[in-house]
Amino acid sequence: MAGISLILQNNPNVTAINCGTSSPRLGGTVDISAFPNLQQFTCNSNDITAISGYADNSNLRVVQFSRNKITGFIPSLSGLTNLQIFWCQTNQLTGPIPSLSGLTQLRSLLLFNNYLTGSIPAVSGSPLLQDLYVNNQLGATKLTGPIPDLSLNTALLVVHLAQNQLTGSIPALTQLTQLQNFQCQSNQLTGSIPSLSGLTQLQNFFCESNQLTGPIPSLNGLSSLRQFTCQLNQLTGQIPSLSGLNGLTLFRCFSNQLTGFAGGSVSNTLGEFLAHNNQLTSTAVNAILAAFVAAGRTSANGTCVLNLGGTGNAAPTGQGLTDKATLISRGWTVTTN
Amino acid sequence: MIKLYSDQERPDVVQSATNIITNEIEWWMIYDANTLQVIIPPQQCSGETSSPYTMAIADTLEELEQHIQDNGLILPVDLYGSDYPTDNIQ
Repeated sequence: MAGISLILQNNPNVTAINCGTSSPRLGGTVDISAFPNLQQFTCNSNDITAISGYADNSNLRVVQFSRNKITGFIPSLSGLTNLQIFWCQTNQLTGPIPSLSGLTQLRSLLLFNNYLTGSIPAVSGSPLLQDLYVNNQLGATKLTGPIPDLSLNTALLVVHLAQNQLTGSIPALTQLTQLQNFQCQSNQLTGSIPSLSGLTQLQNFFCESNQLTGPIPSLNGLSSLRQFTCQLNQLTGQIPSLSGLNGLTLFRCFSNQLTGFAGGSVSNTLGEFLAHNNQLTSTAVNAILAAFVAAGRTSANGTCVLNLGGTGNAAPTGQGLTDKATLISRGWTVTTN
Repeated sequence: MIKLYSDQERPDVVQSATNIITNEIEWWMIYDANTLQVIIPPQQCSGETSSPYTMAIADTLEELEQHIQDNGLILPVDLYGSDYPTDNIQ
């Protein structure tokens, strides 16, 4: 099928192109160099195999070509000085992520589900950046190297880095006071989980399946937190207090080396708590069971799954056994040693 | 307490599991036989489990995967992509 360059040629009045979606889907190659005043180019969910002619157009604010069949490298973006949105997720792009230097207006960068390699470039020159999705690169070699410094990207709402081969530590996050969602699971990250203090907008934090060590940081004050996962690391110390996390629905910390529970209450919204394969003492196991009994959640409220079993954890004792029976009577699925 | 010994070919299936003991090499899962929703996906975890739902225990992951397929069970939705933005945000 013909590309756009054969449909609309050399029209300086065109400032926006949206291919839409059609059946059959638009295929072939697209060259948009003939539209010097183009500000927005959107061509999502087609079968385009190549898009060219946009890398030097400083008028472009929006470039979206997600879910096509585009191969090859992402071109240099250095000429797109007004670029705000660049979406090319779910294609077959290879090679490195180009430098983002000079992209001072960039707000949304979505590159996930490709075959990109190399390191994540610096993003500190894009202080308006809200969405950074580079997760789930599909090749045998994925994104490598460290997570760049994010401390100047105070507008960030979402950071998706999962399922790559990133190394080094998770950078400081406390400056990102708008952050809602941070995902870095399934990488090769080391060091400790950084402080999450002050991240009152944070809803999801996923860092499982890395090589993280040290304690789980305090979750005090994270009033928006809904899901927290840190399983399959090498974390030590206590499960932190979950008091005040009134919207928390899911907490997974299994397969670490955690020994205790800081105590306090849990919300009756918390319906999945997985802490198996740790080194929890019977005191910790009993305290967790007691907290869930006190919360009063039943299967009428939704999911009720509590796992404190597995290798390493102690069995409940005394009142802990009674509390386990109470939870089961309320419709919980409970595993202990 | 009940100790179940899985056979070689198909999982043991227990409705309203009560004090089911598994070891660290057995695979098990929990699902709602009415809605077919899988509540706990296949895993290996030793311990003693009670649940109002159905528990399937097998020697291998493949047996449980076959059980999921044979019974039309529905695995839980992936946590991780739920906030992906939609197209055409302009």
